[in-house]
Amino acid sequence: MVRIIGILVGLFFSGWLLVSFAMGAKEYITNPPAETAEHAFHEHPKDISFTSDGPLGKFDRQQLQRGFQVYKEVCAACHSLRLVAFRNLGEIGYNEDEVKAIAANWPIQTPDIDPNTGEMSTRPSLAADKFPKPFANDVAAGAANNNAIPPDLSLITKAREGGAPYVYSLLTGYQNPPANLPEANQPGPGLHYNPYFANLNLAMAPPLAAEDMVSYSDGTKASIDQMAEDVTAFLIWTAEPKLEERHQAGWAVLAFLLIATILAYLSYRTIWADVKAEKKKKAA
Amino acid sequence: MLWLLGVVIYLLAMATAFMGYVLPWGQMSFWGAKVITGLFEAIPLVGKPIQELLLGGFAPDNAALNRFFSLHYLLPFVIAGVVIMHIWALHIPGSNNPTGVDVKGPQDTVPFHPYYTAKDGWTIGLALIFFTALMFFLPNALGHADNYIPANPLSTPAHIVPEWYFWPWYAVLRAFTFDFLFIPAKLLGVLAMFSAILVWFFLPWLDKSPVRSGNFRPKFKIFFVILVIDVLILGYCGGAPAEEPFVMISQLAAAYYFAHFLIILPLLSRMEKPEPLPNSITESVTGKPLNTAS
Repeated sequence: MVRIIGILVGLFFSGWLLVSFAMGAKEYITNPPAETAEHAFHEHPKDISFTSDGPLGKFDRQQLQRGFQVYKEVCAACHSLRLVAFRNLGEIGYNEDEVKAIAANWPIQTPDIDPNTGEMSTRPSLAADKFPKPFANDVAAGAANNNAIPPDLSLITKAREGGAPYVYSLLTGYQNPPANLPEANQPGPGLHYNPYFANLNLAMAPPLAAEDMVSYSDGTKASIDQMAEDVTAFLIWTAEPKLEERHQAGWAVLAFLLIATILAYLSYRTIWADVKAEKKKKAA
Repeated sequence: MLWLLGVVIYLLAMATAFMGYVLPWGQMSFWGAKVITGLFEAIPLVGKPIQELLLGGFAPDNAALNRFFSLHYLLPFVIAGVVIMHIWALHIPGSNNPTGVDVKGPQDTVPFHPYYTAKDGWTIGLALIFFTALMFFLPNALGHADNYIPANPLSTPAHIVPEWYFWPWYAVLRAFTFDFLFIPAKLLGVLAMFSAILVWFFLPWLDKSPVRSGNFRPKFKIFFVILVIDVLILGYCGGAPAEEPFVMISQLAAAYYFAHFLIILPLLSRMEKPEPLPNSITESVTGKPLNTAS
């Protein structure tokens, strides 16, 4: 009884799936889906490696500091970093006084008004504060940016398909639209062509437009590539500040497990020796 | 009994894992919760009230998050209870073995300890090494980038996909693209997805072969290998975007999945001629007949 019902249900499901397949295939053949421009012109992130890649990866502190400088002087105008506090900068090699000095130059809004002017008042940030947001809220952010809200950058290298290479490619990938780009996909007013972006046209203007937009204190030449690479490295750190500890702990745990597993394997061989010997003897 | 309880444990683990995935409340969490609870909406008449009851509202929100959190820590205790029953079932009704032959004497078996504690001990070590490497060096390999974006009910991700272990079932759900008479395709997909797992409950009655081991059933072995490949294909299609040709591939693969369990297995168990069975477990291992005198 169960089997008869089962066969009937099975015939129904499988049969209907085959019918759906046939209908779908007919549609696919008679009316093949056209390749979209988003698909044809989209490019995969460039091949780039960072010192933090791989199981042995470590951050290059000097590079992180350069990247922070790029964030501070370029990105911070529009993008927040709401999950990172000034004191975290100590982890990339700034000492306490430097951290305090960086924070003090970054006014933060207070929930208070200036008693004389009645305007919202600000105070210098403390090391314990998170990075202040450049806009008071999403509405203000959208209004100032052609209705595109600049995303928070704290986790950006983890929150985008393609990760850090994607961020780097996006920063360096602005170009003129190719001649054969369909009319519908031409960048509209206030948009910029970038084949690394999913729908090809991006509201963010090229942020790293010229060389030497920042002047590095360690003498590194601030080419566009260099700045993009540095700020991406910095954003890898903001997304995962404990990456080095994770890698180190991983090796320690692996070493322990390896030794324990080898010991367990040897004891397995010893315990099973008599049973296996019996099997071999009788099989022979 | 052992098998049925095993399937119950699997179902509970799936529910727990899904609720856990909702808790970070990222984009994929939110939209995953929306899709999965939306499945209940497909049930005629009572669907909508059931969905609202599950979510505690009209869309996933604080109430849904709270009850998923409670269920996420409640269900593991339920699983622990079923595991106890599972162990009971192992000891009282008993279990099968790779030869499919009943135990005929003390020589057929070895004690669990130390033999199986030792054997399992080192394979657990291997599994942990694999798990550790994944966790410490590739923690994001199986996740989805969108889940690092906080949940936003106003912005739908381009592709909503569940966690990898749900992919095969998700592919079955999406394989139904056409209504059958008065039954909408969505309801069909939901029914098929749940049937795809519930069918396992009926396996003991669907597969009536007198031989209880695939080792001695040459045709069964072939179909089983096809099934494994089929589920892998389904899994791949479930993780891919809902575009052609993936939908068509998953339709074929899902058709085979149901055909395997509901048509091939019942017929095969009747038609197939199994190879001769060994007389006892000892004989199959050592090649010598069981010496019942000792």
